[in-house]
Amino acid sequence: MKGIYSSALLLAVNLGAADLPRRNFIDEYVFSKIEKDHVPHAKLSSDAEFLRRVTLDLTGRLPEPEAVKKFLADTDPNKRDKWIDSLFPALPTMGVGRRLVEKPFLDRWAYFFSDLFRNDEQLREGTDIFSNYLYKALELNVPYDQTVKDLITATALSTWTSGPANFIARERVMDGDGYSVMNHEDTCDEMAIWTSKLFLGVNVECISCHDGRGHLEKVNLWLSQKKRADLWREAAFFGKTYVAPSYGRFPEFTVLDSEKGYDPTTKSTARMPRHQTDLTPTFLLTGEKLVPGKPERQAYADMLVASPQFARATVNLFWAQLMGRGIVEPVFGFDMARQDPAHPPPAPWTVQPSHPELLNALADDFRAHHYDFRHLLKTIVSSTTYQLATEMDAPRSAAVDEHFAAHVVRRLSAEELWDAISQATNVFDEMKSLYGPKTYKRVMQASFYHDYESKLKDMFNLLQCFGQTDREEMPSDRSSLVQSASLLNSDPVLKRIKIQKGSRLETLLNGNLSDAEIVRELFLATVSRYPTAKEESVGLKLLKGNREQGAEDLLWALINRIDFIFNT
Amino acid sequence: MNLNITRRDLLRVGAVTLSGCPLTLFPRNLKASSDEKVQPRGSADCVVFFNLVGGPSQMDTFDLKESKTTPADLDVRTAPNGVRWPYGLLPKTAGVLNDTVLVRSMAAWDTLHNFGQYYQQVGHAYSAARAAEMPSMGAIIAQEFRSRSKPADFLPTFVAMNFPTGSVNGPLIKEGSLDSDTSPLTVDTKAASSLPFLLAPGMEGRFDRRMEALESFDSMREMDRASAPKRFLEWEAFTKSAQRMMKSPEIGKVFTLDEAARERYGRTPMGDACLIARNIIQARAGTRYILINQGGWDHHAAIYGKEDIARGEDKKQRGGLYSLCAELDSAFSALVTDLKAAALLDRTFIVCTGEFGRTPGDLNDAKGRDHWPAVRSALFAGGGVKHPGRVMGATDDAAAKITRLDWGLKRPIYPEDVTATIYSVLGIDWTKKISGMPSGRDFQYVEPMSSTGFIGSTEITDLFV
Repeated sequence: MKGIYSSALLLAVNLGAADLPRRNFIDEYVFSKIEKDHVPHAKLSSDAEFLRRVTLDLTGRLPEPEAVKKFLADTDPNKRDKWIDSLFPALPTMGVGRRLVEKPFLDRWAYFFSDLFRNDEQLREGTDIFSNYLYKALELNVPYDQTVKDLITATALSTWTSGPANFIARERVMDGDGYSVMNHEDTCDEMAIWTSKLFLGVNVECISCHDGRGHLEKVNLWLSQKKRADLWREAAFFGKTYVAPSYGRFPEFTVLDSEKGYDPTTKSTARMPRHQTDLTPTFLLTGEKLVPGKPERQAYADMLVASPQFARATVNLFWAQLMGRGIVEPVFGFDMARQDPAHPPPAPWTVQPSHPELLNALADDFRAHHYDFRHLLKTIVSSTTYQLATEMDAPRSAAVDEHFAAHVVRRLSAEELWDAISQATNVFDEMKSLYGPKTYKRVMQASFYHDYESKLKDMFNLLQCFGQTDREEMPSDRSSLVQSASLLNSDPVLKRIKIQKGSRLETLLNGNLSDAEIVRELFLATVSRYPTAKEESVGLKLLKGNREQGAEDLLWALINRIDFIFNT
Repeated sequence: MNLNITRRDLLRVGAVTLSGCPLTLFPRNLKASSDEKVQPRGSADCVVFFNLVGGPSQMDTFDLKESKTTPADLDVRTAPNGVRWPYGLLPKTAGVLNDTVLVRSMAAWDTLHNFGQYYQQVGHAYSAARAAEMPSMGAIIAQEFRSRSKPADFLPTFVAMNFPTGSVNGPLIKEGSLDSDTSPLTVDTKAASSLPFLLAPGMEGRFDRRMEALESFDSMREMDRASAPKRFLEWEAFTKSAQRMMKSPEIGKVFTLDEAARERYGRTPMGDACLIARNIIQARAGTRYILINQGGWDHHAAIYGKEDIARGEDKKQRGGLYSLCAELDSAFSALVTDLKAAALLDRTFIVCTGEFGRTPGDLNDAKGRDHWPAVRSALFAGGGVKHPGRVMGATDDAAAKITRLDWGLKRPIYPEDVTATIYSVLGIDWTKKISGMPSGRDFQYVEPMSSTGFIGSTEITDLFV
């Protein structure tokens, strides 16, 4: 019997992902590889699973109970696409005052880019200005290549009035006392490293200290053939750039192109001495040299966005955000000698992308749509690949993850989780911006945690415990013992759960609802679905004793459920 | 197919097979191996590392030098172990110096806080290519002690307290690509609210009721464990560990702070952290490495504090070294005293040091001192240390250069040597290496290579003879 069952399973697998609808080119590539390699795969996610997942992924928020009910009851075969569309805010057609209406999609991605671009307290007021700039760029759906060019070429008298100038100023390296004089060449190096990492996915930090040879043979084949001088030549595109601290106001900076060029004789603050060599600004990826007379940073920005690797690295970064794993991993660790299956690297190296044709197709599509960020996200989440369930009938091997054959769970980020707890309980703290007359209710709407770090200490500690970043690195999503203990028993969480004025519990308990209805509403508000019969009976049992306490206990248990804390 | 796994099995299985987050690749085949050429000492059950983040000024503290810039109220006198000592800064510590070995022939490799801190916590040079995967000392210790854990253990092996936030020191280094149960339990005594492990009095019954509800609709139950996402298994394991901690009758003893004791320890975040450390050691509940961090030692400016506060007034208001030393002084001396009184000092190895020293000679323009890696000092106590009350090593008149080494090798003591010593006292073979790391490079517990070539780092045997 068992034998028949397992061969039937094998047959089902061999029929391939034929039972799954192919919605776009992503599915063509992913499913054909799943079939070719005979990898077991998950089924399509349920409506509830899809709804919660895509709403969190695109907006950082839970869907509200009313929206869940409506979606689950909807019989429209296109409801998933329509829901996806609804998560993107309309493009403004007039110069309307922004943030009069909450736009969760913009909050979530402005926050992401603030994390990515290291928009932290080192910039002080600049943090707020930079955050607003990123929000606006997303609101207007500025083509991503244009935004990247703006960031790389930003020039301003003050980082406290110009958003993009903060991108440059943040990576400055200071000399001496650390406050008054810029170390020019170290700053140029950092700008080259930073832009290459973020926008090309190539991390050249290693060759800023030493040649690749003798160091990187087991780490990165392409970089093992590169030299320090190659980095300096790329850094030379920033050779005219100067980041000057403002006199009397700290930390405000002026970003200008007033320097003479990259001077290898300058003493470095942290690296081995450089040496004299040809320092014509040269784009590391292609060897293209600066055309004399063209402004350096503009030339670099143009070469960077024109490079096919720009689109590839970008689509890979956002693919990883949504799918839990890049087509190339790690996302800032591209090895340019291992990208082309037609020219594979020597053994034991393998071609780096798990799906090279898919990566190129995504990049081509991104380019063809003028680097439209929203289009990229929509293409990914509309695919069946993205919409596969996380659970599967077969053991979950490494091959399953590598083939994207089942969705990867991720823990909600610190900010997402705390905001979700606030939303589920309907208890919010009002937070005030340090820099202007802005108040807000969700930590995802802050430009940086310095707004609430000292005023809401307990909440801040909780966020830190869940991996909130100080923006030196991206946030961590590792789990820990203290995290579990905090959800079970920390003061901020227990305070949120208590019945209080305006809370969801108060509204439900005062609202003529049966116990069963209350249980259902709480499930909808937390795990975004109806309870199973078994789950409902557990909830009813809790409410049967002391109704108020029981409701609190149920909400506590829901917030500690794995499928609340994780995005499945 | 239902693998009938018990809770204990889950924790064991979880420890071996759980990998990290889905955004990076962690192999499953980490293997530790050793050539077994050394004999680890095994003289301690627990290590306490006082990490003085920022780099304390050696000439004003452990390696006192009297010069024209020394303020009069540093109150320099001769301490019981024969050294000149700043009684104006560390009076109580003077009282326990005869339980310590004061080492003055140490140096650092790096002048930047983040790299220096990396050495302090990991015993390795920072490597951009490998930083994501390399585990800290505490995580290695947690991994080594996994097989020795007892059923009664309810505390994690690695505990880290009060690491200062902000990017200049780098992050608290955790487990890298080792399993997540080697991650530190992070305790922050600066937080306003009480630690989450203590159930409020009277809450036990309600907590039980809540846990019962949570477990009874536990989504994991219905899931086949072989196909369950590893993140879920990991979270469930943590929840069970947290629950075990919270329900342990001993947990109150660890985290409840007796007011009289708090007073003795100084009633500061540092004092509270040391009091909890003492309780953790007394509880013998599985903790082997306690990293107590104190930030603020980076005195580039105003090292002697605010000059307009009248001398002799409350030191804590003075700022600079005065307030910081006051915190350390009560906490450190109270911990050593209490451990000695409880007959635990012999089996607890204490290290107290920063990531580098500070510039000798005149103060800088901001009335402070800058970084000086050539000289740093440390206090060692307990854990088999012999002839306490002595001094190892000496520096010149300005504390600029080491003039006497006193430890058998012809070079200063470096961070790797301290790491080897810590592993040794815990009975860990420090020549071990782990293969199967994601980068392909083996991770050696202590690397024999430094930026200046082969160093052959070693245990500081002279502490123990």
